[in-house]
Amino acid sequence: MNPNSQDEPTQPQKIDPYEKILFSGYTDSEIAEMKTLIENWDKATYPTLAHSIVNHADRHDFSNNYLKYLRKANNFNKKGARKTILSDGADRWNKGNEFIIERDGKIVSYGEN
Amino acid sequence: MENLTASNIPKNPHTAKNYIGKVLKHLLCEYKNTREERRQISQWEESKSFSILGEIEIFTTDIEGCASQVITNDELENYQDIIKKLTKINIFDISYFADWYFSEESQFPQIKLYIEKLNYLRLLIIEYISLYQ
Repeated sequence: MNPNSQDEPTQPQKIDPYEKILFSGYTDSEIAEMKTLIENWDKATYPTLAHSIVNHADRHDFSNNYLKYLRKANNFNKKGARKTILSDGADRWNKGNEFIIERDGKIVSYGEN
Repeated sequence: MENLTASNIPKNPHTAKNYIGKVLKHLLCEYKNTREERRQISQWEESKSFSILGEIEIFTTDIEGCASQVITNDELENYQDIIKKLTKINIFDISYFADWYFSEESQFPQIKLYIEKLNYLRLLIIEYISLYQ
């Protein structure tokens, strides 16, 4: 069987509904920026990265403002931030009202206390 | 707090899944009610070498992520990993967290209620997977 055969019916690509929510209303260039920022995230126990980011953003009051959420997480300045190591080995940085949690160099969560 | 009985999960798997979704949705609202207490804890833990808020955040992420997997997938390929993970992440096993939680019982009622419901969701998912996967 030739996997590249034009005659073979192709499986429809499964679309992640959370990716649709995440990118809804943004321009192509904004979506491209979001895709780059998402690469810095860890999906943790969520089914997909998009699902994780939508849930975290919603919980931390960034519903429908996902690009801003991703930018704020990316721009978190660790200089002068207080670092604590959590029981599962993840690092938590806290500065003022903001915090970020990273595991193996990837963002697990970002938010405001 | 929910009534903890021998079995907390509905008998019908579809209803059980909807119930997990409902608890998850409620938790999102409950979290919003903890803002003022989170600010107080944030100030209190500034001088500490641990973070209660960090443990709660990771506990939330891990459990909500597993709940999302259960809700999204009819057949979980990695159900054994999920049970293993959820069994392992008992927040009350963290000594400094337990000390904080039990030593000042009168304080932070909203956040303690949130943690109890989150822990309830953890047990619900374990029960759901044990029964239906």
